Amino acid sequence: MSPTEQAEPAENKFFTPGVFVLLGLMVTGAAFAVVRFLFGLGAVTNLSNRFPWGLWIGFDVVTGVALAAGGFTTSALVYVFNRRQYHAVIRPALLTAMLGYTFVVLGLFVDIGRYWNIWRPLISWNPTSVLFEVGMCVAIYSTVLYIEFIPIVVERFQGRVSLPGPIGVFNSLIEWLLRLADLVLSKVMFLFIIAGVVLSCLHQSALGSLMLVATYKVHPLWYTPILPLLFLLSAIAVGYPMVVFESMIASRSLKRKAEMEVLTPLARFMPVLIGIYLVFKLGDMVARGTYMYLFDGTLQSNSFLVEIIFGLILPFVLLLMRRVRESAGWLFFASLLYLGVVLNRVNVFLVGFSPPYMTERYFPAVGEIAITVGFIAALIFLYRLFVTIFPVLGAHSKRKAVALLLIPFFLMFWLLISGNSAEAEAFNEKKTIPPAKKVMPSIDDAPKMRILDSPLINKYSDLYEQVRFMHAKHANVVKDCTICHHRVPREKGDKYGKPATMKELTGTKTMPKACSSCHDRPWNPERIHVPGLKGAYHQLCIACHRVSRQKAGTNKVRYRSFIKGLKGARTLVSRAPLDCVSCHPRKVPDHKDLVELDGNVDALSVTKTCLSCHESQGGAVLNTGHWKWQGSSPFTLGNEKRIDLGKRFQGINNTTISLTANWPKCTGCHIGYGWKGENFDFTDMTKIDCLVCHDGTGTYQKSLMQAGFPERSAKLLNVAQHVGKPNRRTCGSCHFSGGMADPVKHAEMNPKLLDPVRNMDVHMASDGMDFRCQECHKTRKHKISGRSVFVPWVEGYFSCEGCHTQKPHIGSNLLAYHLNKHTDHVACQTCHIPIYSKGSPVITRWDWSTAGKDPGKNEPHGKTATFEKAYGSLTWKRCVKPVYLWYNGTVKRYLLGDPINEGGVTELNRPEGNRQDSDSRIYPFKAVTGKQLSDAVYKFLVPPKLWHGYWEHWDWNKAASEGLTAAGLPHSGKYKFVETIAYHGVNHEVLPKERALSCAQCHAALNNERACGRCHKSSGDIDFKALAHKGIDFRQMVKEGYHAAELIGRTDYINFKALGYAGDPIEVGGRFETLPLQTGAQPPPSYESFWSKEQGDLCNPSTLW
Amino acid sequence: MAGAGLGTAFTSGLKKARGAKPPGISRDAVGVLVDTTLCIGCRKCEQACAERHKLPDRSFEDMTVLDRPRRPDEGAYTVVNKYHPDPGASESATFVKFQCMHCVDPACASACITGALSKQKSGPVTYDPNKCIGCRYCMVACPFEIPAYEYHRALVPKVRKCTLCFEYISKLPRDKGGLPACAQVCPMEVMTFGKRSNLLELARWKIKNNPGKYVDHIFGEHEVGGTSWLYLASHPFEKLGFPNLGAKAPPRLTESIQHAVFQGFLPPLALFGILGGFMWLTGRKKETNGKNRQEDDQ
Repeated sequence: MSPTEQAEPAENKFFTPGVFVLLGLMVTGAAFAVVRFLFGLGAVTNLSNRFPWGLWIGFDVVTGVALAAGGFTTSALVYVFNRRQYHAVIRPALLTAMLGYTFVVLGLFVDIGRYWNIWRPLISWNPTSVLFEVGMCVAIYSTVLYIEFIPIVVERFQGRVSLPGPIGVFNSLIEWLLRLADLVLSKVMFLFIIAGVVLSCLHQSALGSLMLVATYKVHPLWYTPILPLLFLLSAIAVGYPMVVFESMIASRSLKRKAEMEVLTPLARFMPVLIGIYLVFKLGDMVARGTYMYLFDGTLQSNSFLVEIIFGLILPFVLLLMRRVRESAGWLFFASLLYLGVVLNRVNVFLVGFSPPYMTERYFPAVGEIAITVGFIAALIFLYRLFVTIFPVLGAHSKRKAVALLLIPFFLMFWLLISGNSAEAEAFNEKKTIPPAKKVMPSIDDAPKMRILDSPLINKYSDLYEQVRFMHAKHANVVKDCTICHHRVPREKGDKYGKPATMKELTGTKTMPKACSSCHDRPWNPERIHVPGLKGAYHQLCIACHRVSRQKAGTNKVRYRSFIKGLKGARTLVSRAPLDCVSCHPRKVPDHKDLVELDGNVDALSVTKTCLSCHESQGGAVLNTGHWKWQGSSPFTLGNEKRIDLGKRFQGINNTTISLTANWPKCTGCHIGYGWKGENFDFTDMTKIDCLVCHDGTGTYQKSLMQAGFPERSAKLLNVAQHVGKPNRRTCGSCHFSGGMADPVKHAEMNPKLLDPVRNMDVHMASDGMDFRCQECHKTRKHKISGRSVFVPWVEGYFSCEGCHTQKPHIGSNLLAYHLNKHTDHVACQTCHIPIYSKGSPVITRWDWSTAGKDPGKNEPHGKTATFEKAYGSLTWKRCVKPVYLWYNGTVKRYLLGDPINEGGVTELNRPEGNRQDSDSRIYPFKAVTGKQLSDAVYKFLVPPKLWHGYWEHWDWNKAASEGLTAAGLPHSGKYKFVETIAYHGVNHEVLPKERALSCAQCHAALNNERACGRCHKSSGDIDFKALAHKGIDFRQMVKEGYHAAELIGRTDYINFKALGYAGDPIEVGGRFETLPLQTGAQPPPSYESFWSKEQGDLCNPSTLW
Repeated sequence: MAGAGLGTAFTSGLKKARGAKPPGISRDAVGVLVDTTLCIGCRKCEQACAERHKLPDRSFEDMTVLDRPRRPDEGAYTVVNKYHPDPGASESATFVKFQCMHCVDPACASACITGALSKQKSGPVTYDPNKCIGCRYCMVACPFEIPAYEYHRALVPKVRKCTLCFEYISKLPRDKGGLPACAQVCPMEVMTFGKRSNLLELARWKIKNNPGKYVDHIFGEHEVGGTSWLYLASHPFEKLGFPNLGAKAPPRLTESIQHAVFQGFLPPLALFGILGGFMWLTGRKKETNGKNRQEDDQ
């Protein structure tokens, strides 16, 4: 066969069944491509941040370019080295290459995310980028291929141009263009051919350089500096096997003999080229020593072995044998094997690529495979089309087998990496802490509280409110100033200083410096190792205030306040703040632009708007006692497991008696809208009143009788846009008016607490600490903590010790020591709230039995009238001395339906506790007595219907029957008034410490001369008598306008006999221990045996003797 | 043959072309030193970053996410992960913040075909979406697996990563918001922002003055040629989720190769010439042979 035999278009039928299969695959691929362009790469691929390149780059582009290498290798052979005998294979190889590169570009177009920007590299390129080289070379080479194909087009159409119909006018123009092309190209084609070879060499090697930048991610079996060379050599070597492969498949499908006369001589080059590649590949492996990975058994090493053995060594050996080269079957097989260079490309780009945080191996998604298969099908389709139209070759190729080639290259398995979370922690001790000495600086010198807030801190982040730092308490616990004040300036103005020691401070009597004297703005280049103020505060505080986990069975724990996990280790009393918001609450973002209300703004539409963002909070509110008016009551004797005790059903008091049948008047204080009767839906969060608690303007007002709805005049939009944290005003809008809108019920909650002075309540003082209620009543998921004697349900509780510790009297002086000994027996409130209802008068006795009669002419009326037709006889008191009872936290309650105490006083709630119980302490209470309705036959208390009931018809019987029916209790028709008593705790209106009860006001024994002097010698600087009388001065109180005249001079504040003592404990002994001044007690022989060791350091012994 | 010739050209060219230079940073280039012993895992850095860059809303109060290690992705430029490097010890967890390391010799910037990712002399590696074609080569190149891609966006997907708040630190004064958001908000001052040279000094000072507290290694000082984000830790870095990397900067090899091949375009032109030479030679031989035969025939 002559090498100059002319090529001609193939004459086979075009639309064979196989072609329809191809069409089907193309359509599927196109469909997925549409999805890719409409919904993004994520919708179609399994690409991720771990594996940014997948099948499309690793196979379509990279392998496609490799397999299309037949183009330039045959070009070089035939034109550059002038081996014209291989001319027959030029055109099919050229067509393959041209179509192959076209589809590489199309594949790229589908893969890159911002495909419309694909022209960018032309104007803005990065010369160091290998991808730029690849891109440019591929683009130029594709152009060259198209130019090389033009002669084929010319050959086909020159002299035969005949366009249909009207465009036939262009026939002669096109003829002229074709002739021009023929003329020009026949002269300059050689330039393009050489350029094609050069460009191919450049980008085939550049594809190898591509992965070199991923230095630490590509497996050492493939990562080598000569990777570009290996890619180039393997690409050159695959050119001819590819030609063989195409040619034989085409021959077989056209039922022609294989063109062995061309292919066998061509095959002579193959072992040489493959051999060169093999030498470099294996030589590189030996030189870098990577053969040690060969038998690891990992996916990578196995894949490498397959690639080398089956894809490289085996075909090399086979092709060395002449018999193989001369046999069509064997040559085909060997060429097929060498096409395993595909595996090499996939190995380098996909299999050998291991990102550092890989969790699972990449595997292409259905869409990726579909589009790839679609491209290949399209390529085959177009090849068939072109060889049918153009004079490419006598043969055409149908690559049915190609799809089968794809399967073996997807042998991968998933790798999973799981993290561990083993956990065993215990608190890490910092330093042993030396005891305090009575020197300066000492605990007594420590300022009590510091507000940690600075414009410096707020400049860098303003997410949280200020911190109230209890300085003195920390000084008391830590006992070493230099733990926090860790450096002192060496001279004035020194902002770095030297390490501080207590010895030096006390020796030179220097006060520690404030933190801000050294720590100011962060990252100051001149003092970059000094943290800024915010960082200093946090680093110091969190060094201790971090959660520690203690393992059971380990040694005794230091700093129990930080321990979590061990039962009882971190009690409510001793707990320390451990998370961000426990120290500083979050600031509320400005809702002005967040709240949008159109049209009619009413209460329910405001709630709907709130819920549109805060739905989970709405759900949380539905579970709270404030919403349900009942809840779990673990401290109610006999009812610890119940979750339904509360005002809603069983509650009854002796002031305004009961809720039952008196909605909507009482429910004016409900945190919802519309609780008018029994049928209120407590599961409907759209009825929640968010604004009553979260009003930031101070203007929101609930209407008194509208079952919770606000006053008509309320400007709800303004309130909704200025929501904020609950504060005294919002809580107080209900809680400071307990008892039908006048604060008559509670002991000490009245509107004076909205804006109190320090002498009214030291915590809430507006010009002082200005506590919001939530400072103590900490809230979690809208469940507000706080335990009440009066209300049965509890959602968390706390006590003064939570902040003040069980040794709250700070200082290294005698008084502090003695006072701290009281905390096991006397509650804080007892001494520190000696009188209640300082703000406004309260009712202490309510006799309903006299109600119903019109008031006489001479009866006083007004706010504190002692008689009202609707109420009966009232006793008002102001500045009241509380009653004192033992209380251990549990309460015995009267519930609706319980029997009354016949012949005596029915206790509606009784604080439990007694002298022998070490959990009990002496607490102050407001006692309210009264006379209220009971059923004479059934002998239980009656909840009368007052609202639209008694107060309209003045008939107790009717009111009783209506109320009892509503409560589901029987009514006998006969009623009787009985005596009742109820207790309210006294917890607010805390006085400053200088107005606490003095020792002598309770301990009459201290009024004797010899009292303290029995042990303590009166030395010049301590006046024990004055010390014992230091406390609240009622004379002064009277001067200030308080009604406290009858309390002046009392020494029996606490009635010890009523509490079970034989007399004053100082004289008769304590509950559990003998006291030194006890009658009959001997003075101790030496002070060491008297004082327990732990206390010894606190006192200076010289004051004793 | 062509292959062999090219091979020699490569290897010799490589040796000659070590002179391809890294981008380099100015003496005032900034960086951040992260002291992982201080981090408490409060996630405020994540929150501040999300707010400044308008990233998707999510709850930053949820600390249960720390139970599984996360990676920065297109919705989170930075994440904090929790590690228990020493399960038997009586200590709590170590928290580490991950984000773009702003390498001194960044692989991503070297790889980027259009220069969309570029290293500023002042330190940050910045991204210009206008130039980006979405090829994701930067993601292949990054040894820390940082650039994240918006695979779910069909029309204008972008590469997302920490910007070191370049727009802010380059335009605003330090005390008026000209700081990275994460460093600014961090309550514990885990991150110190300043000149990289100062930070290295600070890190060495910390190691020296707290014997036993830190592992004697500053991660990022030399890794992959140095990074702008430097880390100190009290445990070996591999136990804290850091990849095991050498000091070789990834771009050096590829840039050397590119430099060798394209130095004045000599190698390609030389190859062109050689091939042209072959073509002419072998063509002439054939012609001569043909002429000779013709002459012989005559």
